[in-house]
Amino acid sequence: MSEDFDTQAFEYVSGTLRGAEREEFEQILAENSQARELVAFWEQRLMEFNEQTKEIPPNHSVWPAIEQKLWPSPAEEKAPSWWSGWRYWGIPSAIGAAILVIVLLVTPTSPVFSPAYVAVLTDESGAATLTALTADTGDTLILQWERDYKMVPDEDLQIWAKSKRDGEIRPLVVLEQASDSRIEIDEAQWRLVKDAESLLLTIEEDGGSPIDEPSDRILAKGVCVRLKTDSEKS
Amino acid sequence: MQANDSQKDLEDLIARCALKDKTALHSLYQSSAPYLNGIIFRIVKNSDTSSEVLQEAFIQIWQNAAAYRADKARPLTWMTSIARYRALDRLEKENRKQQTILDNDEDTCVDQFASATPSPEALVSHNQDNQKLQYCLSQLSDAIRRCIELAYLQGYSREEIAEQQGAKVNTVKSWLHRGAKSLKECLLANSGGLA
Repeated sequence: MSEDFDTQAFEYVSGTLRGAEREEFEQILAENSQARELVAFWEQRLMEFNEQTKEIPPNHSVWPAIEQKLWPSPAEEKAPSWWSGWRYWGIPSAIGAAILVIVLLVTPTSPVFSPAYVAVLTDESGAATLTALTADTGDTLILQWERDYKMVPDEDLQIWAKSKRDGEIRPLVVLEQASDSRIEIDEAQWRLVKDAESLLLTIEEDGGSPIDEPSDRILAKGVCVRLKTDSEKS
Repeated sequence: MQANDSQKDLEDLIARCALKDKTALHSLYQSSAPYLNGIIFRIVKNSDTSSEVLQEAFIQIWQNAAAYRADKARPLTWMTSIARYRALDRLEKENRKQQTILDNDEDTCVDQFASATPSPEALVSHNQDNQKLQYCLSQLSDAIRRCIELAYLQGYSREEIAEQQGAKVNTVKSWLHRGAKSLKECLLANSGGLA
């Protein structure tokens, strides 16, 4: 099996795995970490083929075409769905995350904190609502509210993690108040964060969703980004 | 573009893309588009198609930036893989017939690695990873080495390699299988550097 994967990975990277064979192997890649590691091995090793690649300046039309595809003018945008509609993360989100990271890293009174993952959750209009940050120690979730949210009696907020592995949305933490806080997380919650493609913030009944599924009252969502840890930088 | 000179910069730009910073994508484009365009053009051999594939590649880089893991792949390797796979997809989509390939172009590309054992001067001048690959390629038979080069550098399918080499498709499959096995053994055996 391993040797089959090895040849398939090599042919996938070198480009001779085509058609149905390629599609089948891509399905394997989605589920099998060993196959992904083999592909990564060949991608890195065969990359050296490209060392003498002659650079070719792209046509001047390419960048405007990319911009047009990614950020079409409002008239050309389709009506957003509840999930795909969150597209206006833009600069405010990045700035919010950056500010939080900087504050955490430079505030003298703060304990040493090395962030590992960050997610800036924005509402449907693109306004940053909540920034979530985890320490690389895997035991702390830091929440910073970017705007006020007034809690209603008999309701709690809940943060969910959408898995990049299987796409499932799983409960991460229930919030009884919308205020900046440090929350201790356990190993299971840490695994959810590490596997999270994005985080979702919803309004739920008191105590959180009784069925472990998010309600349709979504306040914000945002992609989860892994930051380099200090040890990786050195 | 040198693979190592701006690795950290590229990682930072990809991280900013994950946070949906448009200016980061533009910077990433300015720094790496000519390199990626060169790789794509070598495979699709048409400047219009190359432009389209480059566009698709950068859209995917933007969309997948949050999935990039610096501990799994170097940033340029990650971007190059995206560009190559999109170029291969395009070939597949167009069910490419054997296009007219200028002999000069083909020789220029393939001959970069077609020589036998690299000279001492060449070994000194290239980085260690490149030396290892060249050394290990030089240990393969001419047919297997050329087969790998045509596939990776030129985007040839098994059928196209068979036609170019005057061999059967099953023979090419066998070459690729043996080539992968021998190449991996050699690369791993020399992972500590060449003597």
